[in-house]
Amino acid sequence: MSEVLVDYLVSQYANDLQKELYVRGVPAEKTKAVLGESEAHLRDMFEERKPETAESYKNLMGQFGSAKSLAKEIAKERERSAASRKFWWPALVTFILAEILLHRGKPGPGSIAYSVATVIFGIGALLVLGFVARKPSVGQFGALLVLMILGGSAYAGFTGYPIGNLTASGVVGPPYMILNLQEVPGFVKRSQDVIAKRQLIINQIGVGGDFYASGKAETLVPSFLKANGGYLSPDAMGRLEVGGVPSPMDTVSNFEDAKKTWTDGFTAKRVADQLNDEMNWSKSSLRYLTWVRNQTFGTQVRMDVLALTLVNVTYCFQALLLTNVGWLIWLLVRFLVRSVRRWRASQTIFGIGAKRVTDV
Amino acid sequence: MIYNKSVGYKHEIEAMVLGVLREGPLHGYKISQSIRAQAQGLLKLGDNQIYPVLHKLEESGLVQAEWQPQEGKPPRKVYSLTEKGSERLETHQKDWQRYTNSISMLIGARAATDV
Repeated sequence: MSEVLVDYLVSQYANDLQKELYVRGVPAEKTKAVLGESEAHLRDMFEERKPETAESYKNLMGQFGSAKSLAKEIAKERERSAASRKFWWPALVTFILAEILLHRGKPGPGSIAYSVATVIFGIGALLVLGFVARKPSVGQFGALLVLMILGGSAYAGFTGYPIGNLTASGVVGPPYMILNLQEVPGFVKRSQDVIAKRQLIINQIGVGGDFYASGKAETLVPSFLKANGGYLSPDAMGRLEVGGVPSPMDTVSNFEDAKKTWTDGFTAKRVADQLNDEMNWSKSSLRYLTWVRNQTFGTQVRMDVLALTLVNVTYCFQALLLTNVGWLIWLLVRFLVRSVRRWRASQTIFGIGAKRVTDV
Repeated sequence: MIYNKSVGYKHEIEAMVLGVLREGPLHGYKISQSIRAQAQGLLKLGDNQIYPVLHKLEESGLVQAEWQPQEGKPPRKVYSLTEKGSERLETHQKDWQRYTNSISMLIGARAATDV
């Protein structure tokens, strides 16, 4: 009788264990080994302890532990083992993408399309890598961030100047950027052009405001307030690029309409203020460049760190988020797969000579 | 740091298994029985929980395993300690010794002041 009972208990346990291992996706070979060890353990246990009552059988089974808890630990151990391997690909890909975006995505023909394609590829790659990693990835992005700030600062220290905002009162503040040495003359010229042009337009807006407020005749409109056979509004003046030509969309054909926009009391002021801000930023950058060129190498590198920290923190954080979204997708897929497997397991009898319920 | 990660929960089970295997090769049931006998009722885990630990130790090369056929019975997997496993056991022993010494000293000192 006891042998029959032992066979029954062992086979029942094996069925439950096989089902639980199947649900958790444990491979067949591993399942076979775990089943073999469990069966040998249970048979040794019953043979040595020789239980006599139903209660003692129950106690011994309880002492061995449930099939579910064993399957759970076996699956966990497999996942832990897989997760313990080093997987630096997300950080490496993040670094390579940063280099591509920084050096290959500079303004030029097709640069926007190139950058957009790189960003889309990067998003996909990091999601896939997070999925493949099967674990949260945090530390490697911290390490990458430190490397990018320190490495970038050292590189920038030798190859460029940190540019920031140095106000007339001497206060240094963000935003910061790195200016390559060979770009310095171009930057200075561009900034000077911006300052000159903005100042000119601000003056012209002042003249325009005075003209329209004076109620003078249409025939006396200064030529710089006209273009394409129409009249420039304050907004159109603000849109004039350095050396640019106004487009037909920037003009108003009716003198009275133009007068309204010039004398509404706020449009001209708003545009002038905006141009003034742009001009002050260029002035500030030039002041900063002059100031930073006279600083020691150490100070310049400290400013490089400031310039690179915010942009790199933002960049690495985005990469970290994407990679871990990939991992969350893996968790979701695992949950779905296990749900399907649990449902399929409920339709199957496991163990020796097992048949699908539907086959019977 | 007195309580370092090498004496955490999983590591304690790992150390116990390695300690039991020091006496010679054993199969799963005997290992669990030895641990249970020596743990003096402190072990609250199911016996089957030693198997994930044994598999991990095998994967790490700290123990080696061999299936042994039995007459009229299912084969049994017998585990034995490797050289790497013996070294790991020594580390566990030292860590545990340091930990228990520190705790003993602390408790002893506290007890002395209480008297």
